[in-house]
Amino acid sequence: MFLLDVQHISKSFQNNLALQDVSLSLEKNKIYGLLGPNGAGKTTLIRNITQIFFPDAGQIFFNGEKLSEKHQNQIGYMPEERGLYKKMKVGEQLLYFAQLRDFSKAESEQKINYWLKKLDIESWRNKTIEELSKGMQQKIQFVATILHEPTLLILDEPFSGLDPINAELIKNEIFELHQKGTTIIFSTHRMENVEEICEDIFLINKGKIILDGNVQAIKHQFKKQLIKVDTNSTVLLNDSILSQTDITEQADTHLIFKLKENQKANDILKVLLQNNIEISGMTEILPTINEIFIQSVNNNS
Amino acid sequence: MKKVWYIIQREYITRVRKKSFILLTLLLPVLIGFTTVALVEIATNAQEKLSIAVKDESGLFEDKFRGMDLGDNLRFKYLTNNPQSIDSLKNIYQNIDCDGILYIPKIELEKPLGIAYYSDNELGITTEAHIRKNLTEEIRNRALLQRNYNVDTIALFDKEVSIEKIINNEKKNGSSEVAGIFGYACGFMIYIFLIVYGAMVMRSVTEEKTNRIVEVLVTSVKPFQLMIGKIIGIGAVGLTQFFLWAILTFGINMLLPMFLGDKMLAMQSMQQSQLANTSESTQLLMNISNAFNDLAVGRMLFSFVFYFIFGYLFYASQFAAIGAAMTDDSDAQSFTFPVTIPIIISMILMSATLSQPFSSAAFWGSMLPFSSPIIMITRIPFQVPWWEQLLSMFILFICSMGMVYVAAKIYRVGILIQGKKITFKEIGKWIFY
Repeated sequence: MFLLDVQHISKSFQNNLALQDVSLSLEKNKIYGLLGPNGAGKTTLIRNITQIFFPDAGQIFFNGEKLSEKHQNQIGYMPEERGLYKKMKVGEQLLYFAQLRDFSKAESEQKINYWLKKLDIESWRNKTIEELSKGMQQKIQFVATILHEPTLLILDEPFSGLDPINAELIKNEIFELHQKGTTIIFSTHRMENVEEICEDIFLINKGKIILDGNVQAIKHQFKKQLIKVDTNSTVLLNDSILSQTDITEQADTHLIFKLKENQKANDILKVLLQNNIEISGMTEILPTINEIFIQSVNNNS
Repeated sequence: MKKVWYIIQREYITRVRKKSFILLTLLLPVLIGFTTVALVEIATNAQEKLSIAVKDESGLFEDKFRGMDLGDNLRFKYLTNNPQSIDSLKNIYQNIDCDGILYIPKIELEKPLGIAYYSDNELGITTEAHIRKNLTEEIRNRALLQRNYNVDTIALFDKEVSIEKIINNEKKNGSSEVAGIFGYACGFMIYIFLIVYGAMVMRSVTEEKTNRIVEVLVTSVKPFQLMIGKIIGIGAVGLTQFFLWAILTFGINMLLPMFLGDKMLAMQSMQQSQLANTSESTQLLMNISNAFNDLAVGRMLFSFVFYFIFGYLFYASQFAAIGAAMTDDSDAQSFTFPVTIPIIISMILMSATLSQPFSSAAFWGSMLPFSSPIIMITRIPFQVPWWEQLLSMFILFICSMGMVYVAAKIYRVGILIQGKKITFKEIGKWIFY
């Protein structure tokens, strides 16, 4: 059974079709990337999941049940634009958010203590938000999002504004939550984060999902049959090599081959070995998610 | 319900704890107290101590001046049998310990000309009025006597009539002026409350919208809960402030005599002596206390609280809807205009109501929910029939509930729309969406 099952939902705003027949299924305990250019419909999709909006058509199921108000406390959402009360103290603010999630005061305090201690920010408890730096506010926002231990966590650009150290800290917390069984939807433009963190991705453009699946599988699907061979010294290319292979790039210490039809990496190796070329390594070149993203969106337009 | 309660709490506590709230709430009554003290101090200390010599060549006013002293502040020294002429006296009045000299030549009663005052300093307005009034009175009496009129008889005609009011077979003693002042005060307080706290609701909604807290909040509470919690929370702040002002002002007024002591009594007696006659002032005091008896304090209090709360609900929900529809502060002007106009018109209608509390304009003004919180409360001291008040309350109740419903519809869509300008046409669509 899927944790979240979005079935054929559509949503329009005054003649503008924001989502068209979008379907996606999220398994428990996985990290998903939700990618897409600006205005593609990511936020609208998230808002349908968090029940800020309701779809015009289609249905959403949570844990096999029709998504309803009672699931709200199992979902945590951190919007891209941060929202905290500037004049409120950190401790009070977190308490307020926890209480709105139906926790008692004692329970809330306990959770707040735990997280402030864990992130080593206990000393901020009595500071107002406006006294904190942007990155610090981000951390508080993160705590506010996960305080109620949601089973589905939706993070919209969680690292923007964070320095590398704090970004690493939050990343580790995300992995830890993942290990504890949380399903995470990660909406971002930063493709390096996607490769590092996500297992599966959904690519959305113009209100439609144009690509989805396992990150590695997608990379293989988009690969351009390129083989990179590392050499110790510059290779002198002879007719034998040139006639049997298709070289796309030559540098001092490496060569890049494009595989011909029915050609395998081994065939390239064989040719090189026959010509007594010393090889220090060989890798298959896979496209980055960034390249796949740009290619898919351009093809779609 | 519990969530609404948390929202109310947050809205209330964060505001009540603000330094600006505490300062304003405490300072205003203290300021009023200080102003009173200052007024009393000024009135008692600034009173010039004058001693005036009187050279009366006519000899008509000797008796009159004996009773004209005003305590220590104004003394008259009537110069009897002083042979010196005014020309020499006017240069030496300081020698006889006087601040100035009043000269009354031999005058004809029909043509009392040539009365003069010589001094280094200007004569104060009240002192001059005091002297003029007494001299005029004396001249008038003497002129009447000369023609053989009996002054006492004439004084008998110097009476004002009063009109007894019997409304619905019940005798009313209060004056309509007092009722008017009281009604005006209540109406004005509601007016201030609607404007100030309505705007506060609006600002608070816009703030949550622009810094995107709303997006986080609506994942755990319904927009309606958020809106109603805010309206109630801020309303409670307003009630607290009014309540504290009432108590503090009352308390400080009770304490004032301690600081001022007999100065206050001195001023009161001074004011009374300056009133034309004492019966007039006692009459006024009686009017006030009678009016309060007639007002039926219970009814007034109940009505005030009712119109206060539901008038606020009616307008605050409109302000909340506007706050949600605004994308930036520059929209505020064009959006608040349609809401504040009825409040301002009510304020204008209020003065018309005071002079004619039973005109048809006043009647309709107290029925329409846009103006009834202000107009009806102004009319109630004038003994509005109960059926009118109950009807007006019913209409206001229904309309405020309806307004909350409509506002919630605008609010729930508006708070999530960022960036683009919103037109009234779109807002209309949201209501019927």
